[in-house]
Amino acid sequence: MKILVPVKRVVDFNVKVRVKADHTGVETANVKMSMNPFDEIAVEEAVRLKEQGAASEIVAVSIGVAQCQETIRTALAMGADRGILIETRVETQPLAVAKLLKALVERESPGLVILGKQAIDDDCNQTGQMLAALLGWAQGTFISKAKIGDGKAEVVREVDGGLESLVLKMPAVLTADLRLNEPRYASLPNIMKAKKKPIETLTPEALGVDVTPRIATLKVEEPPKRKAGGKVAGVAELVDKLKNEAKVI
Amino acid sequence: MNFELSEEQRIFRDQVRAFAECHLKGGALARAHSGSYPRDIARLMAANGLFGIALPEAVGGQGGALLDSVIALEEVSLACPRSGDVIQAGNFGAIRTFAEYATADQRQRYLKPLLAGEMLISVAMTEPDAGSAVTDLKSALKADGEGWRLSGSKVFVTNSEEADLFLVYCRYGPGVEGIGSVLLERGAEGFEIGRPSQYMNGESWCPLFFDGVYVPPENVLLGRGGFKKQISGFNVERLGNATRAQALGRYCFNQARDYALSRQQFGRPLCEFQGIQWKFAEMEIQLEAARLLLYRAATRAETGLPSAQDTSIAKAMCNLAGHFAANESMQVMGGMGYSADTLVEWCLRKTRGWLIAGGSLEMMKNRIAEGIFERRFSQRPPRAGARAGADG
Ligand SMILES: Cc1cc2nc3c(=O)[nH]c(=O)nc-3n(C[C@H](O)[C@H](O)[C@H](O)COP(=O)(O)OP(=O)(O)OC[C@H]3O[C@@H](n4cnc5c(N)ncnc54)[C@H](O)[C@@H]3O)c2cc1C
Repeated sequence: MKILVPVKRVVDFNVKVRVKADHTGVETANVKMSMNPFDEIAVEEAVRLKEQGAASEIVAVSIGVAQCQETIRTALAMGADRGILIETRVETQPLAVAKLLKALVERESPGLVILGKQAIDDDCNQTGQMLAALLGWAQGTFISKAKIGDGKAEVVREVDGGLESLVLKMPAVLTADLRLNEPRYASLPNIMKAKKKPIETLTPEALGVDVTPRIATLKVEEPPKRKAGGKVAGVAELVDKLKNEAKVI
Repeated sequence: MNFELSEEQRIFRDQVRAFAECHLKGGALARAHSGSYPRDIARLMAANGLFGIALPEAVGGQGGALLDSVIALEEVSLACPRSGDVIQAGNFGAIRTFAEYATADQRQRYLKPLLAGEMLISVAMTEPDAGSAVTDLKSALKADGEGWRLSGSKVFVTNSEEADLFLVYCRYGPGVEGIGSVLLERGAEGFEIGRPSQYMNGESWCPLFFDGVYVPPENVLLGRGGFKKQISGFNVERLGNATRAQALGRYCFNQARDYALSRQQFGRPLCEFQGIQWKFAEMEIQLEAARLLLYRAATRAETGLPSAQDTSIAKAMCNLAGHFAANESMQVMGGMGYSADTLVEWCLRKTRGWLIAGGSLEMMKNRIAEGIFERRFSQRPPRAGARAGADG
């Protein structure tokens, strides 16, 4: 079975993002970029499935500018077998990404697509669901456990207030939650081996997908600065303020 | 000329950074203040492919280049300064000279546990009467059947309280040509490890005493004439020392930068005072220059061992820049920088030691001058009727 793992290049989670001066988005020039952390978990899961013998090939795919190749290369260093870069300068939105992935699924015929549950830049949390809908496949979102059996996948989902166990018919789309696994660090020998693994470059046009954004961003603003708090002399004053100023008790 | 790291180097750096942020950053203060060698960290690093980075895969290394180990050492030191010493021990220190010259049998016995972080090796070179003039060392071997008997003593050996194995510089006969080295296991009969003294950086060193310690022939690392080779291996150790000095300076710089952005005096953040801004500009100039010289020395080490000239320049510059930045960062941070609640004061103490250890700043300058004038300058007093320049 082949597994397709989409990986997104995002601003590194350690970076304190700054809004661009013209308020059209956040500054990404000269900012450290990394693989979306949830996608790392997705890659790790695919690699583990391959190590267990449940998968035979892992294809990592990224959509975006040429530098996304480095994100793919990181996935290859973690254990993916080959990569596909769909190169575009358009800032693709979830529906466009889902359509591109659908086109790739039709071309590659994987048995499983594992995505991160969301990307930490736009926090959309839509792509996996849209892809499953477009393909008409079963979906297991926010998973913290996956067991691949004969023609079916048993997954545990992290839902509000607890865990939900599902059996999905394969092929299926899975989206990884934080507790699914702890991704490995790519070792230097594997990083060097990844250099020799192939990366194919495609374009949205070649796949016949229109990626024109359908949502326009009007303005991006910093959240309001938190005002400095006040100090209280003791419990009595605190209770008084909670009662009479904040009116919460 | 290309000043960018390659894609593989960038990916490796990012992986090491992620590892260090996740596993080492927490507990950095406690680790630095504890003084003892963190074996748990050594095993963790070994398990994550951070030992033997520049050694061939065939001997259990990671198959990388010297620059890869420099990158790893920088990233680890920036997250946890004390953990940098562990990368040093697993890549740059005695382990590197050992791996370069060990016989297949010696590798078999020692390299695997060393690369697993289970075993620790130290280099014992300096003696009470042989510091900068290291070729004056007196620890000597006497033939005994197939093997040898070692007598003498050593001082200032890093990790001497905890090391399991010692790479001991010693002599088979007179002169520089008489110098080689042997491997001694802790606990060997006649090998006494004395009472620990404390360094300014909080680490300890113990005097080592050899009283006719038997050295079997299979524990000879380098025979007569091995000194030059040993120093070639030691140049890697020096680059590790340089890397840590520069990285600790940068660590302090980063702390001080955050501090200058948030600390307010006279109703404005410290970074708005020009007197403070210029400190940062000077630190940046020094640290960036140091890093470029360091990367150059590592990149040009085609055989894996850097040249003496490149190493001396890089070490001198990194030692000075690291110490300067630690000191200036402390000044920027005022009483907070001077207190043990941050690692800046520890980094200042640590970087001070590197102006002495691994060949002092003055000895580096002596070496650089020899390169400039293409001449050997003997440091010894002229002997009547003899031209200077015969040895060390
Ligand atoms: C933190 C630390 C860790 C160390 N770890 C080890 C270790 O693991 N193994 C080991 O074997 N040793 C180790 N050493 C010892 C170190 O190698 C020596 O301290 C160093 O070589 C200097 O020798 P010395 O201390 O005897 O000083 P000396 O050689 O006595 O020098 C005293 C001063 O005179 C200067 N000087 C000497 N000769 C000249 C000259 N010709 N021209 C100009 N100036 C000169 C020196 O630069 C220095 O400033 C360590 C030292 C330190 C501080």
